[in-house]
Amino acid sequence: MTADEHGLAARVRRTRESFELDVALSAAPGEVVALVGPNGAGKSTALRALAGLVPGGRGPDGWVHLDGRVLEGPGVHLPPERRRCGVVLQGLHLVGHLTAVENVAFGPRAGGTPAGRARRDALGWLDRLEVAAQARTRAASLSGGQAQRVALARALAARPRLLLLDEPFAALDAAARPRVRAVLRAALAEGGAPPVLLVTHDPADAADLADRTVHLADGRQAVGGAPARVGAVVLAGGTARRIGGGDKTALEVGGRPILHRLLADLAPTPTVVVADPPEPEVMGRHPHARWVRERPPGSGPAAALAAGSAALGDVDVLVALAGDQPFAGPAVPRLLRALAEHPGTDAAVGVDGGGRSQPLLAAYRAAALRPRLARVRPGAPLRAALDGLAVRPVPLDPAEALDVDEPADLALAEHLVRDPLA
Amino acid sequence: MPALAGAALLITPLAALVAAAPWADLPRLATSPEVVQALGLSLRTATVATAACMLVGVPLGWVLARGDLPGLGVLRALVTVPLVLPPVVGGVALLMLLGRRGLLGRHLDAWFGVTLPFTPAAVVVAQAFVALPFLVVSVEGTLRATDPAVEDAAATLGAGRWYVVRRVTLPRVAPGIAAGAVLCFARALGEFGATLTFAGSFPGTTRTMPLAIALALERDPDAAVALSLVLVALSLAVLVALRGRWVGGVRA
Repeated sequence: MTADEHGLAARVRRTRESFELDVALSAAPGEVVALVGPNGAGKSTALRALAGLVPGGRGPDGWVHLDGRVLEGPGVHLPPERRRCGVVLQGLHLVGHLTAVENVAFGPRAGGTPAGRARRDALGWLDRLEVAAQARTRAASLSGGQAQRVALARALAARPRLLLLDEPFAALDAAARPRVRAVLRAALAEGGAPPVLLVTHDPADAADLADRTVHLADGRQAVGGAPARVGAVVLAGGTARRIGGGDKTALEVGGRPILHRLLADLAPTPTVVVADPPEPEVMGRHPHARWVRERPPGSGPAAALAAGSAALGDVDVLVALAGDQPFAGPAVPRLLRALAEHPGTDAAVGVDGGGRSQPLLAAYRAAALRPRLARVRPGAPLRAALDGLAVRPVPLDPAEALDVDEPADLALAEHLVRDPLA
Repeated sequence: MPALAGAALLITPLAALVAAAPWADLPRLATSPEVVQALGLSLRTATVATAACMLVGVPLGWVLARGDLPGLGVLRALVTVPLVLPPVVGGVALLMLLGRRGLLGRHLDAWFGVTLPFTPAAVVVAQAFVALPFLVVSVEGTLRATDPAVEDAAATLGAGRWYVVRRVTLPRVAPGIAAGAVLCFARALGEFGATLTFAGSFPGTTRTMPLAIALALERDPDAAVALSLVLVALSLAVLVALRGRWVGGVRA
């Protein structure tokens, strides 16, 4: 995450008694990420942590970056009032003695907006959420459904940089839910929409609003129904050179190095870059990434992957990527989902348009991969190590599968950056 | 039956007091210079004591309810000690601290030439000592019953700490603070033991209404009854101020 980047990237870590929450979350501006999972999975805690509302017990190594600002990091803990996170938490927590319109105008007023304008804006939001008639009703006297709408209006009116919604439709009746969802969807379709994290039990909410879904179980991102720690290994430097000549990770696409682009897409997943020599300039800008030296240099992808996986520590799912694929990042959530949906498989491996599987654009269950990596001889091809794994193929689009081997590939990549739909 | 006996115990003495009232002489007795002096002193000192209690009691109640400090439980227990302490003992304790030869009082005397006992200020200190716990307990209880999540939500809207206190917390706990202040005032108004011990009973400077009543009872029982009725009237006014809370049952 860097100053020129937008959206949310976070690794939320909290330990409380026997419960441990450790989840990597990211969302682009305007993107709605649904957080689903059983009760007690840590969904609400994650939202509260992002909003800065979890008192004490901050875990080690957690960090939250929003639009290039560090909300939480080593020695940094911004208080809730300086985070600009709009929240609708379970319980809603409207200010009971204030009227509906005063509640909605509260955020802008606190931020110094003149009373008249704040009130007009607030009335506008109440109108959109179909509770304008209750504008002068004290919040304590609102019905559950009305309070829910007012709470949404209040969060939106504050113009948040991040929207955190915990069951925001729970108090609405079945007929009202789609209508309120439509209001929210329309509001998010307007310019400057923030990233949104949506906790919900209702599949219709996720289907209607979410661009992507993260499954949580027992404080971890769930893969294959079970809680899992996910980590990524990116093979760069000497290995990337070896895969096809020339140091390709340092090549620039769209004005920044390929590796930089890839790491930004992977954030906040804990990532190890295996390279030789290191890329200090790129590495310094990605708090979720660490660098390990390839040893010995040029000993091949299987050895490099083994080194990266060892450096990652205790993960359940290992994402393997080649550092010369500038657009591979967006495929990773699909790989993880494929693994989640097929508990019997050992790996979800990308398959390009030509039907070739890409073992360096894949997600592996660490328990299945690690023993094989340990057995493989230095210099042996990666494919040899993967023989016999139960693999789920995941189709890649041409951009995702693109690696930069030829000047023509670079030109194509530049073209894709300028016109992603081409 | 026991309930009836209990009610009778609370009600019949007051009825007797009213029955014994020298109604014909009441206006004269209730407006005698001594009464006016004592009543004025009582109202002034109780008001100042209540204001002082508000000034320190609201923050103290706040810390007890929301604080995150070690030893808060011990502090809470110590704060409530004056509630169960005989007021006379409180007066003696105040003398030991603030008397001319007291722990702090001797320094006040030596350095500033200030002696507190037997002045109206001593009346205020004595009243505040016994009345403060009522306010603190009331404020703490109200704050405990208020969900801080509402304040958290207000903070996420970008409201700084003081903005939240001003627009969210204080309006929510205002009824509790008001009830505590009324209780505090009533307790200060009726203060006898600690005042007598620590401030004495000098007409015009430290002889408050309760002291005047006790004194009158020995010389002129009719005057004592009349003064008592004046205090009963004041107490009833306090009760009316609290009616929504206790007499009227559940508040909206």
